[in-house]
Amino acid sequence: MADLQRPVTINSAIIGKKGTATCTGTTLTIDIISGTYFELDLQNLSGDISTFRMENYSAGFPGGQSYTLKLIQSSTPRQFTWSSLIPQLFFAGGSAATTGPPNWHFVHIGGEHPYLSQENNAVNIMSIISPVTGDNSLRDVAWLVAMVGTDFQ
Amino acid sequence: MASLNGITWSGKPKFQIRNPSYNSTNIYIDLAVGHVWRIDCANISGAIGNFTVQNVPSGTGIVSSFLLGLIQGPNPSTNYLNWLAMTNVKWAGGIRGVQPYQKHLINSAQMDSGDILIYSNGHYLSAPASETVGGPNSILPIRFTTTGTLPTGIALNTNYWSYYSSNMYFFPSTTVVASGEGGGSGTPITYVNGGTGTHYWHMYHHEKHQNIQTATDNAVDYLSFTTWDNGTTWYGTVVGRDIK
Repeated sequence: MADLQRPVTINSAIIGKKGTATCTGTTLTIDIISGTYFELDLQNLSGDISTFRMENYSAGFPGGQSYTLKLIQSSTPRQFTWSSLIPQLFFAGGSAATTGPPNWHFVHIGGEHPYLSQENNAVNIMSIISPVTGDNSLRDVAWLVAMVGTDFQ
Repeated sequence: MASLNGITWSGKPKFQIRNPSYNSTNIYIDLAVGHVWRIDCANISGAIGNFTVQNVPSGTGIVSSFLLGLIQGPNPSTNYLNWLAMTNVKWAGGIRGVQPYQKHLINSAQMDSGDILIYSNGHYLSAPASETVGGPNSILPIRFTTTGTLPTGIALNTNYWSYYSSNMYFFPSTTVVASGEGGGSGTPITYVNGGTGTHYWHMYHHEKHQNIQTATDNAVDYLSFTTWDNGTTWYGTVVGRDIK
């Protein structure tokens, strides 16, 4: 992975890659090395999101990563069950990562759980920043979640 | 163009700040030359209603973004970016940035079933009948001003809400409309008279539903724009308002 250690001047657009994301049952899954932007239609969910699965975690997982989720509300409104939701990391191949402490959790601005707009097809955009684990040792346990906006029209 | 599959910024990324070109009807952002943009609204004239982003990167599975800084000018009610007209930009809650203190003419205040009905052609408050609480039509307060005397029952410096709106008519409500315009659950105001002089209404923005741009001269606001579909639709968010 490139490590730009000197200042770099950027004079054009910054393009991010859409990663692979799915939602089935009550699980939302993103492939965390496939991109930084994830677009999901919640229509395929059978209930509120009770599992947040992040796949292809690797030992080289650097700190301070940010992800942006674009979530399109389903005809039956879905929400995150933030009060019990934990980030679940999995290695390539599907085995659960063990480097994360059991008390990893999501935190929110002001402690208020972000709430998705209820309207069918409403666009909600959310930002998630991972804990800092730059040297692969725990520095933080909180995944920061901020709602960029709901119900874009 | 470099394609980096993951990058660590140990050094500081720097961005050249670019000034967009514009005329009386268009503002142009050219992504081929910049990521961070800034415009001094003191230099624009009239209401610019078109937001044109040029050289948007295109391809499958990409997302592009840029930042736009706005420096407010001395005449925000006449020289401004008309986000209402820029329909290629979507905003959270559909709050499209009615310009601060932009007054909308009230053609007449009429009586309908004993209540005050406002006729204001093209008032922008219309919304689908299925609008629920949380929509701009039901929770954003409006206020009234006049060159004479407001209709009895309507006061200056007081919040009202609207319901049963079309693009011409709405009922002012003294309470937040509980179930959207179609629900008709506002609190109507009994019609006594239409007042005197020329009446206006304007959006009143409170803490959670502020306007996109600060109205104060020289105020600095920064906006972020992101497209998930190669530039067809831009999602606008306010990064910071009235940055000091």
